[in-house]
Amino acid sequence: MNFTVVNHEIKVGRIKSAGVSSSALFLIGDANFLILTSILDTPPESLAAGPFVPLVFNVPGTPA
Amino acid sequence: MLRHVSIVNQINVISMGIDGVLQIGDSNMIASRNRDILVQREESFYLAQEGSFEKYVMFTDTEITIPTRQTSVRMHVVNTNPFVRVDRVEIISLLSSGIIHIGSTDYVFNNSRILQIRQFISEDPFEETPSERSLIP
Repeated sequence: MNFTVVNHEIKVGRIKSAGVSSSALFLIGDANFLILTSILDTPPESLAAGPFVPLVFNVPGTPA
Repeated sequence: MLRHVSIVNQINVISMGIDGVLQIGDSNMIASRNRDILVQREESFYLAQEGSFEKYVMFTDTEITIPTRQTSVRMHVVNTNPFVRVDRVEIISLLSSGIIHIGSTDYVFNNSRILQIRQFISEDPFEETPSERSLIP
């Protein structure tokens, strides 16, 4: 399939953003190919109560 | 492909953290990787020797898929105006493989994995305190 795009004038006044994080891309310009992935995991096992101990290892991962 | 020339009058970034990138000018390839373990504790307490990425499945798992290009579309772009103009950009924070890029690029690969752990002293950290309870009618 062929797909043609014609860009005329591209003009923006003001951009305000609170945050660009976790693999985000703020791009002013052209790009060909982008792969952006991010995982933020807060498993229930990560909530630990009681006296402080060193970090618990072997926390199960999130099922695929 | 004829690329745009990006024109930005003014840019204002207040805070740049771990693995934040502010790129001015064209680039060909960007590969940005970020791994974080966040530990939030009710009281400030720090053990210097703890924390290891290898011990968590999330950081070592190779099964987590990364999207690949699957298209048969042939894209043709015609830029009648060679400029992209932005007057003003205001960004408060930039972190964890976040990128601000002014200019054109070919290929970007960003990958971020963050594990958050919370530790409390109290048995029930979400129990209401008497002062909070009095606010509820």
